[in-house]
Amino acid sequence: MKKIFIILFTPLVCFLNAQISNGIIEYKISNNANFDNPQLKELYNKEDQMISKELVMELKFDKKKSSFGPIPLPIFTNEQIESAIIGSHLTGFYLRDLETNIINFYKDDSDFGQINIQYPTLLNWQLTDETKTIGNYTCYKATTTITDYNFIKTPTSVITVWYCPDIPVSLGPKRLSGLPGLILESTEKDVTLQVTKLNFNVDKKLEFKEPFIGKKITPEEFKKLIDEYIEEMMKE
Amino acid sequence: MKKVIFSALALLVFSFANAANEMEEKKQIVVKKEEVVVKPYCDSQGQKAFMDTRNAGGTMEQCQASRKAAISQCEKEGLYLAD
Repeated sequence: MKKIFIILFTPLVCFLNAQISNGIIEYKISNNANFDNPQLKELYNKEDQMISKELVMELKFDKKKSSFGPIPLPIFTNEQIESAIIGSHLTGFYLRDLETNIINFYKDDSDFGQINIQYPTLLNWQLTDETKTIGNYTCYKATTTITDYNFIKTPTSVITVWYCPDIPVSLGPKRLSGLPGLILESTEKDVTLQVTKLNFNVDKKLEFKEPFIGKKITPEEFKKLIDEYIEEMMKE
Repeated sequence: MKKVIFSALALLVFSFANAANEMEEKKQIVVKKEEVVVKPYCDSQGQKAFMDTRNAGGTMEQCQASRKAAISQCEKEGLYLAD
Protein backbone atom coordinates (compact mmCIF):
# COMPACT_ATOMS: atom_id res chain seq x y z
CA MET A 1 0.00 0.00 0.00
CA LYS A 2 2.79 2.42 0.96
CA LYS A 3 4.43 1.82 -2.40
CA ILE A 4 1.47 3.17 -4.31
CA PHE A 5 0.72 5.91 -1.82
CA ILE A 6 2.67 8.75 -3.30
CA ILE A 7 1.67 12.24 -2.36
CA LEU A 8 2.90 15.17 -4.32
CA PHE A 9 3.49 17.92 -1.82
CA THR A 10 3.72 20.92 -4.01
CA PRO A 11 2.18 23.62 -1.89
CA LEU A 12 3.73 25.11 1.22
CA VAL A 13 1.64 25.98 4.23
CA CYS A 14 2.09 29.70 3.62
CA PHE A 15 0.85 29.21 0.08
CA LEU A 16 -2.13 27.21 1.29
CA ASN A 17 -3.12 29.95 3.66
CA ALA A 18 -3.26 32.26 0.67
CA GLN A 19 -6.48 32.16 -1.29
CA ILE A 20 -7.18 28.95 -3.18
CA SER A 21 -9.26 29.77 -6.22
CA ASN A 22 -9.47 26.29 -7.73
CA GLY A 23 -7.92 22.85 -7.56
CA ILE A 24 -7.71 19.29 -8.78
CA ILE A 25 -7.36 16.59 -6.13
CA GLU A 26 -6.77 12.92 -6.95
CA TYR A 27 -7.68 9.94 -4.78
CA LYS A 28 -6.71 6.26 -4.99
CA ILE A 29 -9.16 3.50 -4.11
CA SER A 30 -8.38 0.88 -1.51
CA ASN A 31 -11.04 -1.82 -1.31
CA ASN A 32 -10.74 -4.01 1.76
CA ALA A 33 -13.98 -5.88 1.28
CA ASN A 34 -14.06 -9.45 2.44
CA PHE A 35 -16.27 -11.02 -0.18
CA ASP A 36 -17.58 -14.05 1.65
CA ASN A 37 -20.75 -13.92 -0.40
CA PRO A 38 -20.18 -16.07 -3.53
CA GLN A 39 -22.07 -13.64 -5.77
CA LEU A 40 -19.98 -10.68 -4.65
CA LYS A 41 -16.83 -12.73 -4.88
CA GLU A 42 -17.73 -13.67 -8.45
CA LEU A 43 -18.51 -10.06 -9.34
CA TYR A 44 -15.46 -8.46 -7.81
CA ASN A 45 -12.74 -10.68 -9.14
CA LYS A 46 -8.98 -10.25 -9.18
CA GLU A 47 -9.10 -8.28 -12.42
CA ASP A 48 -11.52 -5.77 -10.89
CA GLN A 49 -9.29 -5.45 -7.84
CA MET A 50 -6.29 -4.85 -10.08
CA ILE A 51 -8.16 -2.22 -12.13
CA SER A 52 -9.53 -0.45 -9.06
CA LYS A 53 -5.94 -0.02 -7.85
CA GLU A 54 -5.15 1.77 -11.10
CA LEU A 55 -8.27 3.94 -11.05
CA VAL A 56 -8.07 7.54 -9.97
CA MET A 57 -11.02 9.47 -8.59
CA GLU A 58 -10.87 13.20 -9.20
CA LEU A 59 -12.23 16.09 -7.14
CA LYS A 60 -12.27 19.37 -9.07
CA PHE A 61 -13.41 22.71 -7.73
CA ASP A 62 -13.44 26.42 -8.29
CA LYS A 63 -15.26 29.22 -6.49
CA LYS A 64 -18.67 28.23 -7.88
CA LYS A 65 -18.73 24.50 -8.53
CA SER A 66 -17.12 21.19 -7.71
CA SER A 67 -17.28 17.71 -9.22
CA PHE A 68 -16.23 14.20 -8.24
CA GLY A 69 -15.87 11.16 -10.48
CA PRO A 70 -13.40 8.70 -12.03
CA ILE A 71 -10.73 9.78 -14.52
CA PRO A 72 -11.18 7.70 -17.70
CA LEU A 73 -8.29 5.31 -18.34
CA PRO A 74 -7.75 4.48 -22.01
CA ILE A 75 -5.98 1.18 -21.23
CA PHE A 76 -9.22 -0.31 -19.87
CA THR A 77 -12.61 -0.72 -21.51
CA ASN A 78 -15.63 1.08 -20.09
CA GLU A 79 -17.03 -2.30 -18.98
CA GLN A 80 -13.84 -3.10 -17.04
CA ILE A 81 -13.88 0.30 -15.34
CA GLU A 82 -17.61 0.01 -14.58
CA SER A 83 -17.10 -3.44 -13.06
CA ALA A 84 -14.20 -2.24 -10.89
CA ILE A 85 -16.13 0.82 -9.78
CA ILE A 86 -19.23 -1.23 -8.91
CA GLY A 87 -17.01 -3.34 -6.63
CA SER A 88 -15.92 -0.17 -4.84
CA HIS A 89 -19.41 1.40 -4.87
CA LEU A 90 -18.14 4.54 -6.54
CA THR A 91 -20.46 4.63 -9.52
CA GLY A 92 -21.93 7.86 -10.81
CA PHE A 93 -20.75 11.45 -11.02
CA TYR A 94 -21.22 14.23 -8.47
CA LEU A 95 -21.69 17.86 -9.45
CA ARG A 96 -22.10 20.45 -6.73
CA ASP A 97 -23.23 24.05 -6.99
CA LEU A 98 -21.31 25.83 -4.23
CA GLU A 99 -23.62 28.86 -4.37
CA THR A 100 -26.96 27.03 -4.01
CA ASN A 101 -25.42 24.12 -2.05
CA ILE A 102 -27.20 21.49 -4.13
CA ILE A 103 -25.43 18.25 -5.05
CA ASN A 104 -26.55 16.51 -8.23
CA PHE A 105 -25.61 12.85 -8.46
CA TYR A 106 -25.77 11.51 -12.02
CA LYS A 107 -26.38 7.81 -12.37
CA ASP A 108 -26.76 5.97 -15.69
CA ASP A 109 -28.54 2.85 -14.56
CA SER A 110 -29.22 -0.22 -16.69
CA ASP A 111 -32.72 -0.59 -15.18
CA PHE A 112 -33.73 2.95 -14.16
CA GLY A 113 -32.15 4.88 -17.03
CA GLN A 114 -30.38 8.21 -16.62
CA ILE A 115 -31.30 9.73 -13.29
CA ASN A 116 -30.15 12.75 -11.35
CA ILE A 117 -30.54 12.40 -7.59
CA GLN A 118 -30.48 15.70 -5.73
CA TYR A 119 -28.89 15.46 -2.31
CA PRO A 120 -28.80 18.08 0.43
CA THR A 121 -25.27 19.16 1.32
CA LEU A 122 -25.68 19.52 5.05
CA LEU A 123 -24.00 16.75 7.07
CA ASN A 124 -23.71 16.53 10.84
CA TRP A 125 -20.05 15.97 11.69
CA GLN A 126 -18.61 14.71 14.95
CA LEU A 127 -15.17 16.29 15.24
CA THR A 128 -12.44 14.63 17.31
CA ASP A 129 -8.93 15.56 18.49
CA GLU A 130 -7.45 12.37 17.06
CA THR A 131 -4.74 13.16 14.55
CA LYS A 132 -2.95 11.34 11.78
CA THR A 133 -0.17 12.48 9.49
CA ILE A 134 -0.89 12.09 5.81
CA GLY A 135 2.13 13.14 3.82
CA ASN A 136 3.33 16.34 5.51
CA TYR A 137 -0.11 17.29 6.73
CA THR A 138 -1.62 16.83 10.15
CA CYS A 139 -5.15 15.62 9.69
CA TYR A 140 -8.00 15.37 12.17
CA LYS A 141 -10.54 12.60 12.40
CA ALA A 142 -14.25 13.30 11.95
CA THR A 143 -17.25 11.04 11.49
CA THR A 144 -20.70 11.44 10.08
CA THR A 145 -23.70 9.26 9.39
CA ILE A 146 -24.89 9.18 5.83
CA THR A 147 -27.88 7.54 4.15
CA ASP A 148 -27.31 6.11 0.70
CA TYR A 149 -30.26 4.09 -0.60
CA ASN A 150 -27.95 2.49 -3.14
CA PHE A 151 -27.02 0.17 -0.27
CA ILE A 152 -30.40 -1.55 -0.24
CA LYS A 153 -30.31 -3.45 3.02
CA THR A 154 -28.15 -1.15 5.13
CA PRO A 155 -28.48 2.33 3.62
CA THR A 156 -27.20 4.15 6.69
CA SER A 157 -23.51 3.97 7.44
CA VAL A 158 -20.89 5.79 9.46
CA ILE A 159 -18.21 7.47 7.39
CA THR A 160 -14.81 8.25 8.87
CA VAL A 161 -12.69 10.97 7.33
CA TRP A 162 -9.36 12.67 7.96
CA TYR A 163 -9.40 16.36 7.09
CA CYS A 164 -6.59 18.88 7.01
CA PRO A 165 -7.25 22.37 8.48
CA ASP A 166 -4.06 23.62 6.77
CA ILE A 167 -5.90 23.33 3.45
CA PRO A 168 -8.89 25.65 3.77
CA VAL A 169 -11.12 23.88 1.26
CA SER A 170 -14.35 22.54 2.72
CA LEU A 171 -14.75 19.65 0.27
CA GLY A 172 -14.04 15.93 -0.10
CA PRO A 173 -14.91 12.79 -2.05
CA LYS A 174 -18.43 11.98 -3.19
CA ARG A 175 -20.85 14.27 -1.35
CA LEU A 176 -18.70 14.78 1.75
CA SER A 177 -18.18 18.40 2.69
CA GLY A 178 -18.62 21.00 5.43
CA LEU A 179 -15.43 20.43 7.44
CA PRO A 180 -12.87 23.14 8.22
CA GLY A 181 -10.34 21.67 5.81
CA LEU A 182 -9.93 19.40 2.80
CA ILE A 183 -10.72 15.70 3.33
CA LEU A 184 -7.54 13.77 2.48
CA GLU A 185 -8.90 10.34 3.37
CA SER A 186 -12.37 8.86 3.74
CA THR A 187 -13.62 5.39 4.61
CA GLU A 188 -17.14 4.23 3.80
CA LYS A 189 -17.91 0.61 4.62
CA ASP A 190 -14.95 -1.34 3.16
CA VAL A 191 -13.65 1.27 0.75
CA THR A 192 -11.04 3.89 1.56
CA LEU A 193 -10.14 6.80 -0.68
CA GLN A 194 -6.71 8.30 -0.09
CA VAL A 195 -5.39 11.49 -1.61
CA THR A 196 -2.44 11.04 -3.96
CA LYS A 197 -2.15 14.39 -5.66
CA LEU A 198 -2.94 17.96 -4.68
CA ASN A 199 -2.91 20.64 -7.32
CA PHE A 200 -4.17 24.12 -6.35
CA ASN A 201 -4.68 27.29 -8.39
CA VAL A 202 -4.26 25.49 -11.69
CA ASP A 203 -3.49 27.68 -14.63
CA LYS A 204 -6.56 26.81 -16.69
CA LYS A 205 -10.31 27.27 -16.48
CA LEU A 206 -11.87 24.15 -15.00
CA GLU A 207 -15.00 22.86 -16.69
CA PHE A 208 -17.96 21.39 -14.85
CA LYS A 209 -20.32 19.70 -17.28
CA GLU A 210 -23.35 17.58 -16.59
CA PRO A 211 -22.63 14.11 -18.03
CA PHE A 212 -26.28 13.97 -19.18
CA ILE A 213 -29.63 15.57 -18.42
CA GLY A 214 -31.17 12.91 -16.24
CA LYS A 215 -34.59 12.65 -14.66
CA LYS A 216 -34.40 14.69 -11.44
CA ILE A 217 -35.44 12.77 -8.32
CA THR A 218 -35.00 13.01 -4.56
CA PRO A 219 -33.18 10.30 -2.54
CA GLU A 220 -36.59 9.18 -1.22
CA GLU A 221 -37.94 8.84 -4.75
CA PHE A 222 -34.87 6.79 -5.63
CA LYS A 223 -35.60 4.51 -2.66
CA LYS A 224 -39.17 4.13 -3.94
CA LEU A 225 -37.85 3.19 -7.40
CA ILE A 226 -35.65 0.50 -5.84
CA ASP A 227 -38.50 -0.85 -3.68
CA GLU A 228 -40.81 -1.04 -6.70
CA TYR A 229 -38.07 -2.70 -8.76
CA ILE A 230 -37.59 -5.43 -6.12
CA GLU A 231 -41.35 -5.89 -5.73
CA GLU A 232 -41.79 -6.25 -9.50
CA MET A 233 -38.88 -8.68 -9.74
CA MET A 234 -40.30 -10.87 -6.98
CA LYS A 235 -43.63 -11.05 -8.86
CA GLU A 236 -41.98 -12.48 -11.97
CA MET B 1 -46.91 -34.41 -72.36
CA LYS B 2 -46.71 -30.72 -71.41
CA LYS B 3 -49.46 -31.29 -68.85
CA VAL B 4 -47.50 -34.11 -67.25
CA ILE B 5 -44.31 -32.03 -67.00
CA PHE B 6 -46.23 -29.08 -65.61
CA SER B 7 -47.95 -31.30 -63.00
CA ALA B 8 -44.62 -32.83 -61.97
CA LEU B 9 -43.03 -29.38 -61.56
CA ALA B 10 -45.99 -28.08 -59.55
CA LEU B 11 -45.82 -31.12 -57.27
CA LEU B 12 -42.13 -30.56 -56.72
CA VAL B 13 -42.59 -26.89 -55.85
CA PHE B 14 -45.41 -27.60 -53.37
CA SER B 15 -43.36 -30.36 -51.74
CA PHE B 16 -40.45 -27.96 -51.11
CA ALA B 17 -42.79 -25.28 -49.78
CA ASN B 18 -44.38 -27.74 -47.36
CA ALA B 19 -41.01 -29.04 -46.22
CA ALA B 20 -39.82 -25.49 -45.56
CA ASN B 21 -42.96 -24.73 -43.53
CA GLU B 22 -42.50 -27.87 -41.47
CA MET B 23 -38.89 -26.96 -40.71
CA GLU B 24 -39.96 -23.48 -39.62
CA GLU B 25 -42.67 -24.93 -37.36
CA LYS B 26 -40.14 -27.32 -35.80
CA LYS B 27 -37.75 -24.43 -35.15
CA GLN B 28 -40.49 -22.45 -33.42
CA ILE B 29 -41.40 -25.42 -31.24
CA VAL B 30 -37.75 -25.81 -30.13
CA VAL B 31 -37.47 -22.13 -29.19
CA LYS B 32 -40.73 -22.24 -27.24
CA LYS B 33 -39.60 -25.33 -25.35
CA GLU B 34 -36.40 -23.61 -24.21
CA GLU B 35 -38.29 -20.53 -23.12
CA VAL B 36 -40.81 -22.55 -21.13
CA VAL B 37 -38.22 -24.67 -19.36
CA VAL B 38 -35.29 -22.29 -18.92
CA LYS B 39 -36.75 -18.80 -18.43
CA PRO B 40 -38.74 -19.15 -15.17
CA TYR B 41 -35.96 -21.25 -13.64
CA CYS B 42 -33.30 -18.71 -14.62
CA ASP B 43 -35.43 -15.79 -13.42
CA SER B 44 -35.72 -17.45 -10.02
CA GLN B 45 -31.94 -18.02 -10.00
CA GLY B 46 -31.53 -14.32 -10.80
CA GLN B 47 -33.87 -13.33 -7.96
CA LYS B 48 -31.95 -15.55 -5.57
CA ALA B 49 -28.62 -14.00 -6.61
CA PHE B 50 -30.09 -10.50 -6.22
CA MET B 51 -31.42 -11.19 -2.72
CA ASP B 52 -28.22 -12.99 -1.64
CA THR B 53 -26.14 -9.99 -2.72
CA ARG B 54 -28.60 -7.60 -1.05
CA ASN B 55 -28.39 -9.60 2.19
CA ALA B 56 -24.60 -9.57 1.96
CA GLY B 57 -24.78 -5.75 2.06
CA GLY B 58 -24.27 -5.15 -1.64
CA THR B 59 -25.25 -2.01 -3.48
CA MET B 60 -28.07 -1.79 -6.01
CA GLU B 61 -25.54 -2.05 -8.85
CA GLN B 62 -23.91 -5.10 -7.28
CA CYS B 63 -27.32 -6.76 -6.86
CA GLN B 64 -28.29 -5.95 -10.46
CA ALA B 65 -24.96 -7.23 -11.78
CA SER B 66 -25.25 -10.35 -9.64
CA ARG B 67 -28.78 -11.02 -10.93
CA LYS B 68 -27.78 -10.52 -14.57
CA ALA B 69 -24.71 -12.75 -14.18
CA ALA B 70 -26.80 -15.53 -12.60
CA ILE B 71 -29.46 -15.34 -15.34
CA SER B 72 -26.85 -15.29 -18.08
CA GLN B 73 -25.00 -18.26 -16.58
CA CYS B 74 -28.24 -20.18 -16.09
CA GLU B 75 -29.39 -19.57 -19.67
CA LYS B 76 -26.01 -20.68 -21.00
CA GLU B 77 -26.27 -23.91 -19.04
CA GLY B 78 -29.88 -24.35 -20.19
CA LEU B 79 -28.95 -23.96 -23.86
CA TYR B 80 -26.04 -26.31 -23.39
CA LEU B 81 -28.36 -28.96 -21.92
CA ALA B 82 -30.85 -28.40 -24.76
CA ASP B 83 -28.12 -29.16 -27.32
